[in-house]
Amino acid sequence: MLRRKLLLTLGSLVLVLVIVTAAAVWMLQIVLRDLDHVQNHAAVLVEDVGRLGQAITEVEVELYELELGKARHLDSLIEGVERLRNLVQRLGEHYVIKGEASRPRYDRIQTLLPPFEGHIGSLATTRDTGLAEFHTREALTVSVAIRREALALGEAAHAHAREESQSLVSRFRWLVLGLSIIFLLAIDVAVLVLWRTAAMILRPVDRLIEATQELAAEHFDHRVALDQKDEFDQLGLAYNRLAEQLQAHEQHKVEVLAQVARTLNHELNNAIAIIELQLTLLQDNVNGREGTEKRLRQIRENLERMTRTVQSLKHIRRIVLTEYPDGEKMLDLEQSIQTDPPTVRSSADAKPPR
Amino acid sequence: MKLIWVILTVVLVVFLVVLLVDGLVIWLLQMPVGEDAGGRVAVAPPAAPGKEALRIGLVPERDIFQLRKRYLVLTECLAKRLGRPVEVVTVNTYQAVIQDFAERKVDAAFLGSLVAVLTVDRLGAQVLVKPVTEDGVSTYRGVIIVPESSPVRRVEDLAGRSVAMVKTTLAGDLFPIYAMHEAGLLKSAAPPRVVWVGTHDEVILETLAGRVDAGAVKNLRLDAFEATHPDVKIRRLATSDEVPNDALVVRGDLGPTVGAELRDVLLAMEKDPEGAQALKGFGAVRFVPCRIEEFATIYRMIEALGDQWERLGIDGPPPQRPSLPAGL
Repeated sequence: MLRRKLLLTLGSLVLVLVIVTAAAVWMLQIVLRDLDHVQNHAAVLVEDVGRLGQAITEVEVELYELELGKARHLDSLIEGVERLRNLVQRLGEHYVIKGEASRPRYDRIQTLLPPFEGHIGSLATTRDTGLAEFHTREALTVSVAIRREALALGEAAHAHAREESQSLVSRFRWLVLGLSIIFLLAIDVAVLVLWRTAAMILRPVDRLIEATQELAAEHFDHRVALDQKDEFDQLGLAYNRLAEQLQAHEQHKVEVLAQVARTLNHELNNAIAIIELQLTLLQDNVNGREGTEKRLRQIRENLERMTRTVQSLKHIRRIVLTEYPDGEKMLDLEQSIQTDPPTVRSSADAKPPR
Repeated sequence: MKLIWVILTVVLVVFLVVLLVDGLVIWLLQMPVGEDAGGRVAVAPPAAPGKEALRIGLVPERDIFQLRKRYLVLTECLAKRLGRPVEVVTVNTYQAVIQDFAERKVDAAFLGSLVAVLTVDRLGAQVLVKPVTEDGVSTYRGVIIVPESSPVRRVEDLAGRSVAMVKTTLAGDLFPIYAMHEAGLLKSAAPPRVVWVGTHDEVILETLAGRVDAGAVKNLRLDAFEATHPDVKIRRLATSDEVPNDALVVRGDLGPTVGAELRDVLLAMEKDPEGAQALKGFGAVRFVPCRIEEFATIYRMIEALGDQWERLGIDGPPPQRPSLPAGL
């Protein structure tokens, strides 16, 4: 039973600590995930918006080079526009772009991109000067508009990243505070559980030690009262059985002594009565002889002492031995007739002897 | 009894250890990892070491972005079959592709019929193959168009009017000039005013937008436009004879081996699923051999133009007809 109690108590305690720890780790993991999110999403978003502006610039440079006749290959231009398109598409997949602040600006970029691509495509292949100027002008106009929207988008992304960081820091503070409180509570619970567990062991041990001391002091009527339904209960019962046996043995010895006392009393009373009768007769014949009276008086006093000793033997309640010369033991009459033996300490919580 | 408690205790300890180990594993698995913030990396086609890249040039006639995508699908498959990298080089003018041919910056090119004739004439290039579309189309024609609402009903009515055209193309340049020449407009008091645009699609859009009175366009692009815009009515004033569409031309000094290998690979591409898939992405079902004789229409128009060749806006003299079989 004691094992089960210890297992349940300590197991529950460990389980609570494990759960609390797992919950703490889980919550910290969430914070780390969010931190990772801020770093890998918000930062990437800001970076992508920056790349968008850079891609627009690269496309414009390619166009100017084509117009000036410095280049005749379109691959860089096509790749630049495709990079621009991919960047816009990737931006659209970002959740920040779906927010109220960014969505209209992103939609505007998406609206501007097809005509931008159209003008660039036309400009790259048109040989007519007038149309080339028209497409250049239109492409640059759209490019400026896209750049403006990208700038605003970048500001929105920055603001969002800042908000997320602040929110994360705030949440982390609350989390640390909450975890501190939870761990303090867990420690309190652990202390209470351990205190209760210690009491569960120490209280019966204390009672058994006290009972053992009582037994050593020959207080065989002392009993241990335990109600824990465990191994300590069994130990207490064993102690009580031992005390009962010792008490019975002691009682038997007292009864034997009482029987001896009654026998002595019976045998000595007749002798004493005859001696007293003879002493009374002798007293009548003394006739003022002082020395004889003194001797008679001493005989009478010793007779009374013998009578008292025999009477005492009849009133023995327990057996208390005392030292006798030559290392032998003898009955301590004075102590043995006392009803209440001296106690080791009060045992108010002890049950009456069974 | 003791054994049971020992077993229970051991089970509890094992459970806790497993719980802690699992927690640690989950923690490690959920460890945040940095995401790839970089751009996409292009995957180079597999290539045999030491082999130079085969560079294939393009001269965009329409949407340069879509066009390049289509050709990238084809060149990726070509690279696998040739065992060497194949690069796409997009140029903005026919002069550029001729210059690239001359400077050996491209080894082959998919060219419009007129530019193909120019490269054959000026650089001794060789025509290899031409694609055939799902509809069985491997040629095209030039068309002169006006909106249905236009008062122009014949080529002759274009006098003094603006015409959107695409330089160095049969449909957008040679044929309308030839048609105007045949209609006597070029030497009239009020010849049509030419407005050069970049692509055939732009010719259609400019014409329908009313920024020009008429347009000279490739029939394949016009058919595609009409298929997607059934409500738009367009009047066709004149249509040319057909010429090969997007013929592959290789540099004359490339060597017979490379040209033959390229031709064989392209002609065999339709025979396996991967090649057929690449052809589909390219917009064709197969390649068929193409000969210079198939460009006879162009030579005929050029010869008819005579000194009006200059109106095409193409530098240099007109290309000379190669020795063709009799009757062409």
